[in-house]
Amino acid sequence: MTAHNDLDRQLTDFLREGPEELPYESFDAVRDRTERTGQRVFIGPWRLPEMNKTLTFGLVTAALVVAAFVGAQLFGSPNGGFGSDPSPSLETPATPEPTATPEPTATAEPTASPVAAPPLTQNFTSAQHGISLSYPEGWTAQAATEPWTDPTFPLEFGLPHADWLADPTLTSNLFLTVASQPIGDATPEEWVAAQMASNEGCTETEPATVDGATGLIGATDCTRAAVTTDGRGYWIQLYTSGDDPDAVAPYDRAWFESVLATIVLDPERAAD
Amino acid sequence: MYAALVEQAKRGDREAFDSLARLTGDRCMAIAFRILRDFDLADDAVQLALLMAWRELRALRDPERFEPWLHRILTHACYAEARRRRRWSEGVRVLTVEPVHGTDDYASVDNRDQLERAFKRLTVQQRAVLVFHHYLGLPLPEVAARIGIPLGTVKSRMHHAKRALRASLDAEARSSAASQERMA
Repeated sequence: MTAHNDLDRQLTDFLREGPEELPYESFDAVRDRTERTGQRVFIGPWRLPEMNKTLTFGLVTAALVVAAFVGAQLFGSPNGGFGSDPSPSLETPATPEPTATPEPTATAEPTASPVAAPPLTQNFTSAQHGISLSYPEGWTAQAATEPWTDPTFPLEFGLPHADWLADPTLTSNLFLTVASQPIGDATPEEWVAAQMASNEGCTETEPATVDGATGLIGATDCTRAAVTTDGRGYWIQLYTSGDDPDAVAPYDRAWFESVLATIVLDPERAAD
Repeated sequence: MYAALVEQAKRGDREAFDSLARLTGDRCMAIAFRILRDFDLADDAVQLALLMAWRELRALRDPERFEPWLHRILTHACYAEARRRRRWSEGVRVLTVEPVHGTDDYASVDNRDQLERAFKRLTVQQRAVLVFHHYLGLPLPEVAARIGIPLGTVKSRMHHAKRALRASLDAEARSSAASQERMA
């Protein structure tokens, strides 16, 4: 038997040992807590797996009729309707403007995702990696405590070599990560190419500039970028799991670019 | 397997969810304990996971995938418990127990203790991959789906975890041999 198989066998035996029952009191505790906890209301999915063209058309038509009615109420009558006398004390947040006008065609499918990405209202500055960026409201940050020393970026959520900015619910299914390292003897082009050729890279890339630093970004929907400046290479990645496409739909390439636009690189402040 | 109960629970039926919890809780406890190596932390992680599952249940689209979905929530609850313990134990020096070297009758116990120590030195993310693969017997693509990480990351964690385990076990073996030489 090889050493490899021996370790596998030992591991299997080792993991076989241990408790396999949750105490009764714990079940009761869960029951008590669920009694006091409501279920989160989940809106969607907008696009049902079995949605056919007729149903799609019906929903789109209904949405357009509702939109037309609400629009007429808001803007059609100067003296009446919902928009006639807005209360100044009602401090509702501004409604985001639609980014695209839907074409009222029979084949149009709803492209809007059920949940919009939260605004980039928080700012994160990495003491380890010499980078700052804005990230979404409500997300949590875990700062790097160790330098990134692997030749290419190892994507292991939560490990200390990178900064992790994650959605509080989806955590390792939706996060931003940034890290940097000296490029050493490599040229900027070599370093960037090596990152993009790694497991975490993108098969198709295009030139990118982040805060004046040049490099590559993934083409189409590959949300990773590698840039260099002053002898330092930066890895910036948006990870979205494919397991819950509705939840991560707003976090697309355009959104990734909006995050990149907030980035400030400060290689002199990086700690190695 | 639990589809009918899941559908009832999604409509807010707490009795149905209680039944689901009782059907799946033991398996969750077994997984959590093996990842965290601590009964109380595992208990807390399972309770947290079940509560989260209740809260988020309406987001589950395929009732047949309830248990894998719950296991993903559980895995993240384990990560959270491990972080919580790390915060509490920061600055506390952990005294390692020296392995007891005796006759061959104790060899298996000794090996098991060595493996326990080596396993605890792994990151909680690495342990989760090992538990899903070696304890539940899931193939790596299913481990990736269940934990919610790319297959490449699962393979990477598996590789690094086993390399670290081997290194720890080798170091313990060298240490053991050296101390036996000193005693002889």
